[in-house]
Amino acid sequence: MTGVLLNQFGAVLTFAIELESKHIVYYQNDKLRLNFPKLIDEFESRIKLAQRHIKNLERSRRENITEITLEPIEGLKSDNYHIDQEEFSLEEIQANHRSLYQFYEESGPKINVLETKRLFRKCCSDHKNILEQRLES
Amino acid sequence: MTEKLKNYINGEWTTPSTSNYTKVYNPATLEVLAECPDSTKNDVDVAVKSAKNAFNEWRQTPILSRTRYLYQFKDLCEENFEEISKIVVTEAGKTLDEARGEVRRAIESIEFSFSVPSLMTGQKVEDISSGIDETAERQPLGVFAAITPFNFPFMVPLWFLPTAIACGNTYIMKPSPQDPLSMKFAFELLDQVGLPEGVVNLVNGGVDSANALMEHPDVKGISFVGSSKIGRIIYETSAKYGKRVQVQGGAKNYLLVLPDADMDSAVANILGSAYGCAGQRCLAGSVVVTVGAAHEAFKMKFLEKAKNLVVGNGLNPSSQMGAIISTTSKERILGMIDQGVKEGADLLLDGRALKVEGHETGNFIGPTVFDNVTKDMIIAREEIFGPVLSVMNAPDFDAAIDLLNYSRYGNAASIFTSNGGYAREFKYRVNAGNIGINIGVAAPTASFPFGGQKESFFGDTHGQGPDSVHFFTDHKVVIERWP
Repeated sequence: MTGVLLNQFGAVLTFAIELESKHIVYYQNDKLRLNFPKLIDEFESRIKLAQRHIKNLERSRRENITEITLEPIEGLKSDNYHIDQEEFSLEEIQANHRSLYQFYEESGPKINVLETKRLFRKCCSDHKNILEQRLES
Repeated sequence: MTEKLKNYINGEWTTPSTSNYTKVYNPATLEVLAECPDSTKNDVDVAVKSAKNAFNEWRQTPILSRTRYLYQFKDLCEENFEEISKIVVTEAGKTLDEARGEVRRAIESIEFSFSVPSLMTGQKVEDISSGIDETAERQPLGVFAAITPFNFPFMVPLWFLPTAIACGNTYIMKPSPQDPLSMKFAFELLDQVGLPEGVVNLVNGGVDSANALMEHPDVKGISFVGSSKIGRIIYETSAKYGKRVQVQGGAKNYLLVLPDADMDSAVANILGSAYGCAGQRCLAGSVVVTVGAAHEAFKMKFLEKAKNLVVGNGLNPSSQMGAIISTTSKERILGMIDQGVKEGADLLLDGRALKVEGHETGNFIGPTVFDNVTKDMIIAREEIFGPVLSVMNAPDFDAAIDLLNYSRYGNAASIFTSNGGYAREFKYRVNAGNIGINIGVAAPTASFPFGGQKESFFGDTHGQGPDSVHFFTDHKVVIERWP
């Protein structure tokens, strides 16, 4: 979803699912695992976290959409958030989480559904916690 | 070669006895998706016979077992949520979010049917006379049918079918021939659920099959959603044949904006109300009446937002407004815009010439706004069922209420204000069945009746909520004395 206007509820939720999915693919990449063999368990736990995020995002998209939520959302563009899948360094791992953190932080307040707002806050806080961890190769 | 749709009768997909088929188009691309049969009176007879045969055994099936089938159906709808939503986008032209909203509402109607075991409980009074007790029991009646519209091809049919069969009736669904594919999918799911043969039946068709359902002596009741013109015919014909009937007709929904309203919120709400589903819903806001100074403030903010709405193929995640169902509908809407111009309204935003890149042949009309509309202009009186908003100004609250109540329709009306007194007066005095207070689309959830007054509703009991249990059951009174 590059160059996409995140201008409504479903588009924002779908983009969040896409970012988390790309994140999973990134952590599953053999190059990354070869570079950091000691971190494979940590990567696995992050994959599980992303899978949990996806499941909750899908549920939230499915259950919270009614006429009342169909108001336009302004000021969000998919190009501002990026998961790199080419660079396999500790810096890039952090950059990816930073992008996700930033996405949830900026988009959450624009959503007019309490349950989804809460989910975005939780996802935001999960990525913030990861950013605060120090990974050692 | 496009698929020729079949009917679902007595637990099997059957080929109708007709050679007449109509094309089902994707409104955004005009691609032919399928061909819908124009089922005959004979096809309807077979479906009614099957439903009638299934009735006795079905009504004897314990009520909790009946609802368990519906739990399973709900689970299948959840599992296939995205696929159903995409079918709705493809056949009805709406956006993916609108389709998801529709599927969610449909599932809520299935969930409502889980409360039928509680809602079907009867009443009993002991000793109405010495040693004599009186009981009122609710019983199913037999075969019911629905004739449903194009604008919510998955949701509206499921307003009726789940509650009807949970009550112990059997059912025949006749969806709109313009977009019958999501109902086909629903019946594929119902087939997986393993309901006894004949409990649910699908007949695809148009006028002939609708007439056959209304005239059939073994159909006990008809639910209809569509235009008031057709609705009146359905109501009168069905009643003539001794049926229960509930008809939800057309609408011309007015939205009142007072100067004390939170204007940003009002504009966002009204944008969704006027242009959601490209204006093709019976709860769409069609006329905004501003009071006094609200006029300029509303107009400027609304125009700014309306002209930036992204119109396109509903499958594109950025599309905020989709297509019009058919070329015929598009022509009719364009004709009404032309008429508005001729009658002297100011066309502030003109969506007539809109072309969507990559979908130049699609049935698109851009958001359209008229100002200085008067109450007798066609765009203020008639249902447009398209993305056209008319703006009128009233000097005060009372004059605004008079304008609202002048309409021959009474489906929905909304007020935007921060004054509780005006809100209370509004809901008390406005002749409409669904009232929004700072809400642009006053859509009742499944556990509430879907209101409607004047020419927007014909009948006694509304669709949805406890009213629907009343519609699908009959009271039997038992008075007993034992020696």
